[in-house]
Amino acid sequence: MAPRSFLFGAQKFDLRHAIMLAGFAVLLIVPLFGDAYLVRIASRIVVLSMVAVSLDILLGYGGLISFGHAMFLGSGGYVVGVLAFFGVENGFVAYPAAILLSVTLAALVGLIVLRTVGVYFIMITLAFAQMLYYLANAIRIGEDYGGDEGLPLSRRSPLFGILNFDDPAVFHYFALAVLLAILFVSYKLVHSRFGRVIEACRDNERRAKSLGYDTFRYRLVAFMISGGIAGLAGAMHMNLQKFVSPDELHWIISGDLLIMVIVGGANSLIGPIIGTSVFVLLEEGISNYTEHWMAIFGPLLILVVLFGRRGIYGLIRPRGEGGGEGR
Amino acid sequence: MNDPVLAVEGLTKRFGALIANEEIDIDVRRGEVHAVIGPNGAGKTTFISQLAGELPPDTGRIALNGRDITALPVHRRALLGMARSYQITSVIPSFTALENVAFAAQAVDGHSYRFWRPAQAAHHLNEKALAILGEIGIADRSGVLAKNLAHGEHRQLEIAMALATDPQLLLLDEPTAGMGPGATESMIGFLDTLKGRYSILLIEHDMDVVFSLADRISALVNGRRVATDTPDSIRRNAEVRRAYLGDRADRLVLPQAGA
Repeated sequence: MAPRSFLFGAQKFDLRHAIMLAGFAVLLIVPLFGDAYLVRIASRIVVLSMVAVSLDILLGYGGLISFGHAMFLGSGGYVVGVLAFFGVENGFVAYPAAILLSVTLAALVGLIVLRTVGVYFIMITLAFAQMLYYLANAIRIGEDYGGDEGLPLSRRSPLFGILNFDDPAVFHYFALAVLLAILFVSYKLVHSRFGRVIEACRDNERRAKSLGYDTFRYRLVAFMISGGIAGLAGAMHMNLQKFVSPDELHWIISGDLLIMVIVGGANSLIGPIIGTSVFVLLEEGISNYTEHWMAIFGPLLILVVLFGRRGIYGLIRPRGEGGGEGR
Repeated sequence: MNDPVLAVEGLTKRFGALIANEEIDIDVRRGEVHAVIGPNGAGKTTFISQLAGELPPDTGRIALNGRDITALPVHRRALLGMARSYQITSVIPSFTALENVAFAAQAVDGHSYRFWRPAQAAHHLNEKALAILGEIGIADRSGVLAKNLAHGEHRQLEIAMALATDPQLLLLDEPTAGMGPGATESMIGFLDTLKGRYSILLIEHDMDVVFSLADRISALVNGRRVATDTPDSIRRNAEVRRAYLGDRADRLVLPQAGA
């Protein structure tokens, strides 16, 4: 077997690593400019990247195109919001609770949606997320809370007494650390024995079954892991915005997440982060000039899908390097 | 030794008005190669799909090592020792040949809910996989992605994956389908080395393969088992010849009769 270095399976430093390191460096130094708006954009990229990476575990590795991943962004956010409403602010409670509830939600939803494949899977995940969207719209607490008003967060969930998360830079570095941790855990996951089963289920579920794998259960566990990571990201998103509303659950968000993963390059973990960066930067950059920023992003999406079947990450892959793409 | 590895009783499967399998009784003894032959549409594929668990039978009973497995799902049967190769190659295209076989070995190794250590660091699985690939003759192709393998190599990989699950019973569905004469020859040679070590139910169109490997042969005609006997007796069986072998039986028999 060829020796593999830690850095995403490549044997030597190449263009991808240069771009990754440059991107990381930018995210690292943005707070130094002291521009709160720029920090906010950078933090948005970091937090949404977490969701995109979690979606890539399902989409790129598991072949499960979830069109309802916003439900976990919402579930994580609402856990933080509801806890804060009842006076529980501590991050050591809020973040684990967000993960736990999202994993539970993923288990319950997964039990049903994973009985379908292909287009039906896309549709039923969409249906579940929309159900939660309308549920979040319907449930109000008194006059001013919940429903379409959403829930505010007066102060970011404190974790350690010394860290002041109301300083955007501190929160940004915290989010960046969480993203790196998620990336590392996901990398280990997809290359583990479990990851091998998930990829085999994507390629040839019938064969995996006939070899003795209970494919449904493996997919369910993958769905729960992905949901938990996305739930954590949802909690971070809520903390970033200090606000959560049903909009977080809307299918458009689920669609945006799919676009981020596919444009960036599924089945790579890094691609979704690139995709998220491009998406957020274009959204922020172009929407300053025109509302119709999708008119520019749309054609770009088509070009990437047409010419780079593995997304932007696939385009910057050195020639001759094979990949684990299934189809 | 007397108890069969596989015992099938009264297996019946209907698709609407069509009776695909009717009251089939077949057993596979320990260490034997039991071939199932029959013309197209005789119900061979329906039969093997029911054995593997992909099709639920209407009535009948399937027992593996004396245990009733009729109601068990595919993966449970596999873990009990039933391994299958497919007529149409069914491998994991984005895995290398070695990864395919190691993945099959992992199924019986357990511990697939391991989320941290790299799968390729499981040396015992890799070594087992490499040994099997060597035995079947494609060890030099172990690092090639399965989707880039040639057709004959796919067929070999298919068998290698089945063997990696330490099977009690091998269900081989036309292992030489689509192979050229030379490749078929070497596949027969390889399958011959499995004789006695594995109990094999072999479904096959190629009569050369059947008659050079089988200890016993069952003939299916229109969904019914019309005979089970030694290859020599099957050659002479009038009902089998009429239904299936036709003039091909003469060609198969005559050289031997003349020898």
